[in-house]
Amino acid sequence: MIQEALDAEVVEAAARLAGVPILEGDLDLLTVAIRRYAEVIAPLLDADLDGVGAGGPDPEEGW
Amino acid sequence: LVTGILDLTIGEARRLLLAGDVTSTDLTEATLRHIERTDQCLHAYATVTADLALDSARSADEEIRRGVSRGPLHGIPIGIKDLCHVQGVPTEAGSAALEGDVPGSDSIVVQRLRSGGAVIVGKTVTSEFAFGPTIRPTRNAWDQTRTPEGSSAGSAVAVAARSAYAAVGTDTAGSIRVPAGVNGVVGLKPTFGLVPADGVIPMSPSLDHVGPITRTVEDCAAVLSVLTGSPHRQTRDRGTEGPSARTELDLSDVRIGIERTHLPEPTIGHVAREAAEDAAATLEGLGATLVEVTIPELELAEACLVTIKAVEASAYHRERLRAAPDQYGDVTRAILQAGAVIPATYYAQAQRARRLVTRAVRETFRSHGLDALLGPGWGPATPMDLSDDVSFVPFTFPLRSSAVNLTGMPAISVPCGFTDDHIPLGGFELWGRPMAEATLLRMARAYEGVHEWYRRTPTIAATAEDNVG
Repeated sequence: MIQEALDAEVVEAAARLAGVPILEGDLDLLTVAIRRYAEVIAPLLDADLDGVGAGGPDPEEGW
Repeated sequence: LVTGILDLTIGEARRLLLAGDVTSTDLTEATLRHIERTDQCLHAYATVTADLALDSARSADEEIRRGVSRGPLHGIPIGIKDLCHVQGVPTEAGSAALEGDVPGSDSIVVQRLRSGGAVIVGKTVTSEFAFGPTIRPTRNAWDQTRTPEGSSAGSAVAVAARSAYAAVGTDTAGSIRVPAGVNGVVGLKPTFGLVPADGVIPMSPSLDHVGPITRTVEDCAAVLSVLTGSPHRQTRDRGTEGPSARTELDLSDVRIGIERTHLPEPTIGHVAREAAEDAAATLEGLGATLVEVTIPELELAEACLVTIKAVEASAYHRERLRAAPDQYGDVTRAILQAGAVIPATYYAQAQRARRLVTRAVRETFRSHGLDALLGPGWGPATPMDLSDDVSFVPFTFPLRSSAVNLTGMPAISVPCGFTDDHIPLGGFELWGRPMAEATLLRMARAYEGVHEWYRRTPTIAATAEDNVG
């Protein structure tokens, strides 16, 4: 969803769906932010997580 | 005399206090005068609590005269990041959204510092709610045309500039270690939960850490001991008698992993890489065994951290953002809006990937019998970007060392020298097993004992206009 959200119209729709207030002039910067997030998050979507379980921190498990 | 007082380490100041050769009031007055003289240029402080500090200093002096000892920070001037509640003192988190907000109680870290007799001289500048990697008003202590990095910029600059003997910072994705590195001081992100975050305005509760920024490793151990709740508390560590007790230089029982392939962020420059290699060579010269390791899963760290941080931060700010969006800065509002748009399924995926990264790092420690991993820091500070073009705002620290915020393991940034222009090289990092802060501090202290970079003092312009056009 985020990867496709590359234009202001889609960004605005997504933000409205999430209940986020959008002020006048916000869309340009928000679009930049979402594009950057989409770029950074992309490797996560293809990660092989078979057998990992539910996730979350376990800093004291078995060290 | 004033410069001499300000250049003391906490350990040195403590010894003079106990001997009656200096008073807490001397230290505090000198610190306050120095802040008054330099902070128009550095902007390390959001609020200076001069009256509170002098009252605390006089109380400390009176107690010390009576032979009462509250521990290693008794009578020592300290700065507090402006995310931590201090009763009766504005806590604004660098945001208009909290302008004039005065908490009615102390955060736990401030309770512990006060109980330990520390003298709080002020609240140090943070970027808005700790977002954003740069803070425009605050300047690097060593070159006021360069960035201090963030978000604990005020704390790192104050310590480097001798405007506090130590400071408290927070680290969600490198925000203690990176500003500490570029300002040439020590920054420790403790094990997750070792230092309570109660009363500290959160950014991302499952990634947030509170920890010390100091000039020396010994000072770092002293502050950590107070922040953990008792100057005498032991971390769970193998064969050590406590963080501040190990000062020997022999590291022949220590194994340090070096990850040259997947740990250094591709954008990290050769200066930071070479500094880390030099630090590794120094530690090897002290007897440590270096072990080449590879952890491909570290390449997921940034994606994982950005997702979790963005969503958790947006959740925390949801009500205030809906009620008063105009009270946030444009970049902060965009970050929070974007976090609200990230699907919940991505957050769940990030939490699973977080476990994958944690297991991979843990297995590397276990299979190689490691005591630490060594990696590069941020590199030297870059020139301040004073343009208004927000299209280049990076929104994240592109640093794989933020993996320690995912795993919860402790990490320390250690100063490792200067460029030819007298700018700190940005430090190097050591990561340790959870609750093994003492081992990290021992290695860092041994390294510091060889070089003593902390003896250098920055030159600070009288006003920002002197250096920055």
